[in-house]
Amino acid sequence: MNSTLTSKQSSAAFQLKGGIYTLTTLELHSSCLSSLSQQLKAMSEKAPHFFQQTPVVLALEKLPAAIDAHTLTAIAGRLRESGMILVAIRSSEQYKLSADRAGVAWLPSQKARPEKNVVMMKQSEQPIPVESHESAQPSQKNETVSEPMPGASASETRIIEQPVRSGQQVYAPGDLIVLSQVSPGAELLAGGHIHVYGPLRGRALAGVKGNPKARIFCHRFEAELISISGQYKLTCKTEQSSWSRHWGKSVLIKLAADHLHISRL
Amino acid sequence: MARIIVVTSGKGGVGKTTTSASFATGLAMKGHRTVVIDFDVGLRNLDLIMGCERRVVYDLINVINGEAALHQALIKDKHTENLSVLPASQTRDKEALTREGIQAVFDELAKDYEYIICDSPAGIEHGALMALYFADEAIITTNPEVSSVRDSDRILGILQSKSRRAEQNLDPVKEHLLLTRYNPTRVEMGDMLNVEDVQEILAIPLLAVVPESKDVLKASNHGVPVIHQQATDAGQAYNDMVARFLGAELPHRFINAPKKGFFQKVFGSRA
Ligand SMILES: Nc1ncnc2c1ncn2[C@@H]1O[C@H](COP(=O)(O)OP(=O)(O)O)[C@@H](O)[C@H]1O
Ligand SMILES: [Mg+2]
Repeated sequence: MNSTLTSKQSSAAFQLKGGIYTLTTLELHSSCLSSLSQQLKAMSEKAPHFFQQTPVVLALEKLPAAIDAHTLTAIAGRLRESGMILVAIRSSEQYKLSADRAGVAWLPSQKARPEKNVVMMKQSEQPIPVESHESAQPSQKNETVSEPMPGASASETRIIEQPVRSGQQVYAPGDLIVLSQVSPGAELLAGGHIHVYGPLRGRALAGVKGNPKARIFCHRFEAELISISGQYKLTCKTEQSSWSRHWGKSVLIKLAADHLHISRL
Repeated sequence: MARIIVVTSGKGGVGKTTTSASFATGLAMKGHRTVVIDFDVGLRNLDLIMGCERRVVYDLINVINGEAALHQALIKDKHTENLSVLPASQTRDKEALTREGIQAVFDELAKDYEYIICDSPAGIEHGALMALYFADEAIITTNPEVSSVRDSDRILGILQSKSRRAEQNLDPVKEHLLLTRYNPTRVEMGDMLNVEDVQEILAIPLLAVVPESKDVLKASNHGVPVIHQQATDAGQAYNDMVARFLGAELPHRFINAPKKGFFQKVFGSRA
């Protein structure tokens, strides 16, 4: 055989592509199955569809004691029941084999990461800290308007002039400025602030790399989800909270004492 | 240079094929050499609406696969000069639609035609992506309901990111909103979104509003695009659409519910 297989070959069955995804990390603080179930149930009552088909990384570093493979399987089962899809286990090497047996990826612990880079994604009253971080994965990303430019500096600002439509995702390592509208089902992600000079009807996640000082400014607040530095809130017009008063208005959203605050601009 | 125009929506059953047939016919009636292509491989119903189903011998896939020459597959319309139909195959697999194949067909059509109208299948899968890939302009066919508007929004995102113009950093695909199956009475009752609601969400220029009308189905059953029936509201709406597309400035019609009838005017409403 003297044929070489290169990715340039026109008959190649696939192509590997890098993509940046926001993944939810479930950081386990206790191996007690019943309290896990209880908390998951409480969460899905609040936001019934939030975890449907959500890829989740299970982080084990914060567990007070090691758990056995049997318990791990049971935990994975509970996550699945609540609609999440376990894609990886993040832990010390000791769980590497378990991850392999469970058919999911293994990621090394991130203990070494400075606290500043860790994004805690938790709903104000929720005791499960769910963490969100980006990870590069070799797979194809859908309809991304703008991917981080190779070699772009972390503080780079992006300006998007066209509408961001349903199914699109825009990421900026620094601030993200959208001059048009953001449709329901669209997602904005920024390491820094997010400014939207049109109606914000989709999701906006600012400070995704763990910047609690990031803010979200929008000309017309009609968002589906707001998140700053991992603290998130599902929003809707009819929601019974002080937030619904600001629906359709020009607002500023910031994080103070681990809570999201909204105010009129 | 021929203009390639895709009639698309995301959602099925919104009126893409109906629109493709009348729009292509209207352009041809104004003297523009036009071809309308059915990209709905596997379903094939443009030829029915155009009334040429009995004359289908070869189809788009045959041409792409080199099993027939383009001129053998093109069907000259019987009612309208300057108009041809390139039918889809009912039997073959959609995967036979390839970019290279379509490009070759378009290059050849561009020598003879001013407008190439692509009737897209529903969805955002291969067939729909192939139908929109080469588009210069897009007719976003939308019904006044939330699910249809959401799907149109999605298609607009795909046009922005996955079309040839997007990939090659050319001027973006020109977008037109066609709001169809519009029923002003139901809109006024609050059952359906109104024109402003839809425009607010999609934020693209409105080309025309086509009312919901029984004449559309009647015309389809006779294999005559409804634009031929100028006595009907839907026929007139498509006529306006074509005129505006070609640059005429006409006020929008068929947006308001019918006014009170003669007897109600004379005797007053006793409701
Ligand atoms: N303006 C209209 N009024 C009433 N019925 C319509 C109208 N436009 C389309 N229809 C009907 O809706 C159905 C779907 O139309 P079609 O053009 O085949 O949609 P698509 O190609 O988007 O699937 C057909 O039965 C058609 O007769
Ligand atoms: Mg159709």
